[in-house]
Amino acid sequence: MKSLSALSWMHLLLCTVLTLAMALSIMTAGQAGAGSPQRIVSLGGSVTEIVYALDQQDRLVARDTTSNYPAAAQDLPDVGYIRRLSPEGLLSVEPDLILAEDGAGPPETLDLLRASRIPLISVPMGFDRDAVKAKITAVAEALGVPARGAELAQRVTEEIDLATRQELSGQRVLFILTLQDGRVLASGTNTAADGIMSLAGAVNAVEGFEGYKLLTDEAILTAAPDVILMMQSEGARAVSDETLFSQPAIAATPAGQNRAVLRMDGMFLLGFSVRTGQAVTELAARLHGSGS
Amino acid sequence: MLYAENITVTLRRKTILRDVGLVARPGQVTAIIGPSGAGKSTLLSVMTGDQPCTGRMTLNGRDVFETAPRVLARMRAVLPQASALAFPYTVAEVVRMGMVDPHAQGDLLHQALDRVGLAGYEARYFQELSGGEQQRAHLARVLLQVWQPVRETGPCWLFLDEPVASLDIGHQLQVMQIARDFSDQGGAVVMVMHDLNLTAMSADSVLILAQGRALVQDSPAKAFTRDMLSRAYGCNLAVNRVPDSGVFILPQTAGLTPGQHDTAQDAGLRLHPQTGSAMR
Amino acid sequence: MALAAEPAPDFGGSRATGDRSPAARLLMIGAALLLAVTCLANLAMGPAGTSLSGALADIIQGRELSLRDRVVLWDIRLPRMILACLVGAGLAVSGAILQGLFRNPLADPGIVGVSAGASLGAVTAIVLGATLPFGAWLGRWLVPAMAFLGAWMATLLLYRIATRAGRTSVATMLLAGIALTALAMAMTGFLVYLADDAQLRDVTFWNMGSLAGATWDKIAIAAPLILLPMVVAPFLAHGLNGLALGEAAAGHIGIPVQRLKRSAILMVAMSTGAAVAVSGGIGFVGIVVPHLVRLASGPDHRYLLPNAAILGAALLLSADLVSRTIIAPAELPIGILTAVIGGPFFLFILLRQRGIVDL
Repeated sequence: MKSLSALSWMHLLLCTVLTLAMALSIMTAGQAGAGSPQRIVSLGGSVTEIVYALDQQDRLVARDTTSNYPAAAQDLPDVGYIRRLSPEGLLSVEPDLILAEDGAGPPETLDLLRASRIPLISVPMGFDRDAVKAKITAVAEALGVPARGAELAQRVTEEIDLATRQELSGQRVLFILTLQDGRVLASGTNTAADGIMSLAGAVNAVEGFEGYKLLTDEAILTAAPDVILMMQSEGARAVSDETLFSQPAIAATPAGQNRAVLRMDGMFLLGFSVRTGQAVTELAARLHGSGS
Repeated sequence: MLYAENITVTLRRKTILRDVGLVARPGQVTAIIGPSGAGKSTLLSVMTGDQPCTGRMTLNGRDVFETAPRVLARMRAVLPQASALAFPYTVAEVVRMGMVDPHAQGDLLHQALDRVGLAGYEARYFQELSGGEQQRAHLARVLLQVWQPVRETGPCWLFLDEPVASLDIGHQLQVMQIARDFSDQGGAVVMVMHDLNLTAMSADSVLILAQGRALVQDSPAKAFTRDMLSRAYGCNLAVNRVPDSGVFILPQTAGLTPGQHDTAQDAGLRLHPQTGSAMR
Repeated sequence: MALAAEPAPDFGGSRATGDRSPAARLLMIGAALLLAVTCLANLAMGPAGTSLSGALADIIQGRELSLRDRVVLWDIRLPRMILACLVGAGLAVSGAILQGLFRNPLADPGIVGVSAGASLGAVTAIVLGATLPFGAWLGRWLVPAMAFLGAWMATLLLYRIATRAGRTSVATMLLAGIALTALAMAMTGFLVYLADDAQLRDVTFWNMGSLAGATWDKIAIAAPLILLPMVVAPFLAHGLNGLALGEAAAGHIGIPVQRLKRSAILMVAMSTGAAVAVSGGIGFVGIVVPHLVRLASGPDHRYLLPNAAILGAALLLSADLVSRTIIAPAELPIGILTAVIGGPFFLFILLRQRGIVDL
């Protein structure tokens, strides 16, 4: 009796597993077509976010250090920094596709991937609406789900369009990347911060250089921002309002006098990915709320 | 033979040596004495080829400035004034550095250490020795370099820069005896000295330097005159005068009871108690 | 009488000769065994889990290796193992030579400006990249080439500064090295200011050092530059021993001091320049390894140099093994590892030794 029941249990279990497996294979076949990559390494926070938004996360086997959203992504093995990939580390997760933001490296590792016939698809970067669309399209193409991709791209661009159609605030915004010992590392042009500010209808208070640079006190005064924008951070890196506005140069700006500072999650704000529409909406709304 | 003629050394527009001449012979101990700052060590470094100078300087007929270090090293050895040693070498390792002749046979290392009274010190760290022991270990190294006072290429030379500076009187006598023996066996010794008594009893020839000039070179008996010494040292000095009171001890009177001490015997230190001169 | 020799210290048996060459030879055998073991371990272990014995069995039985196994063993682990050997040995021997030359156990390639020069070269290449002449043509070779050039130029400049009338002043070289390092760092700082985010991270990672970029091409270029000094090193050993007595005394025992200094500096620039160019900033190997060897078998350079080479290779191989596996599939830059292990270890040795042998 006992052995019979055990046998039947095992039978039942086997049947269930088989059915599930069949169902799964039919589903994936329908979605992505047969032979499409099933062991994917996603490199770059924005790419990983898109993979999740396309509901293809089950095909991920690893991610890079910057892929921290959604939180579930953090359970995947981390292959390190995108420009310093370890060849053997990558091979160890046995990927059949590597999906990377532009600029993955070093070249020696890429050579070895090529030698091992592991395809690497580079996703173009950019800091505007079209760049987001191009990114989503590229990822969806690579995953073999162009229809879903088009759908997502459509939704995200609509969100962005909707957000940018709001009344422009035209406020001068100073984006501060870090504030260390009173030294202000601020965003110039051609950065994600600059891109998101202009989508939200704000004016970058700093002009005349590309990328992130240290600003002198006088440059801060000249920039005369209405609002200061920073990334939300925790622990020792967090900058309190007191610290921020105790900087004489910052205190003297309109933003300092009104104590107008916004803090937003870095990946959400600067990722230029699926959530960019929401980010623009939130930023625009909070800009309207503050300073005026 | 060592000939130095018209040696002039100028450093930073200051003349250290002016027109100094010196002759040193194999079979003799030649001492250079004079007050501090007279240029004694500079003259020695001219003779060892370390200090560029004007004038003429030959050793065994060779221009030392034109001779390769390797050739010079087989011709002469130099005992420097106390100098720091880098890294924790053992005494044996330091002394063995003096072995410039790779074909040297036998237990020379131990013989050399024995000669300077450091038998059994082989495995000690050099840096752990006292200043006097270090000086003697260096002497052993230098002796090893010119172990045979006469080579087929000619006599060998020992240049000693204040070899007894940090030694007690017993070891001072021992070192003087080593120098004596070296010259007795056909080698040549040139040494910078501070101690007038030791110089008087061990040197065959003395050069008195003062303010960069050679005052005289002659045997101690002739060079050490009241007039010459007073001129060189700028104070009144008397020769061979016994003070009226007080205690004085001269190295010349040092003697050993034969057989009392093995090391001393090995070192060949046998002084005549009356005359104070070493027996030939 | 004071002539009495002090009683000989009791060192017991054969040690009383003060000859440490048997110990040094024993150390050499031990180090060589350790090197062999670490080499095998580096071939056999790694995050990809490819089995060395399995692959060897396949090869012996004439079976085709899978593409993945071939890439892992032949293109990743083997070149990396060889590069770790070269870099570890090169850095350790350079350190030992420099310490002998400067008569100071704390000297390292940083002193002769090699590190700062290499860093300036590398950062220039990273930041200015293709805008440099030959930049586009050199491609990925630009960073190592510029690092090597920087190391080489810094050292030669320093040598020129410190050499007057045919004599090189080691003290001048030390002081000028500090000044030159400060200058190079200022210039590096200016370039860092110009750099964008990605370049900044590249600079940071370069400074941390890594053997991750090991390829056969890199080995082909770095190997002669590192191996030549290894071949020359034994000829410097006797001279470096003599130099411990001081420069003048070294000359007196027949060592051509100026020629020794010139060849030593040349060899160090060549070997460190190449090592830094292919691996970035890997610190402490050049100080810790020679120091360990000196503790174990004395400072005699005839044994110190080969032993440092073998142990340096073994040490870097072990560090690289950890660096590749500890946070797999990512990897820890090896420079962090050598500093984290080397720093405290060095302090420990220093404190323990202080009372015994004054540095």
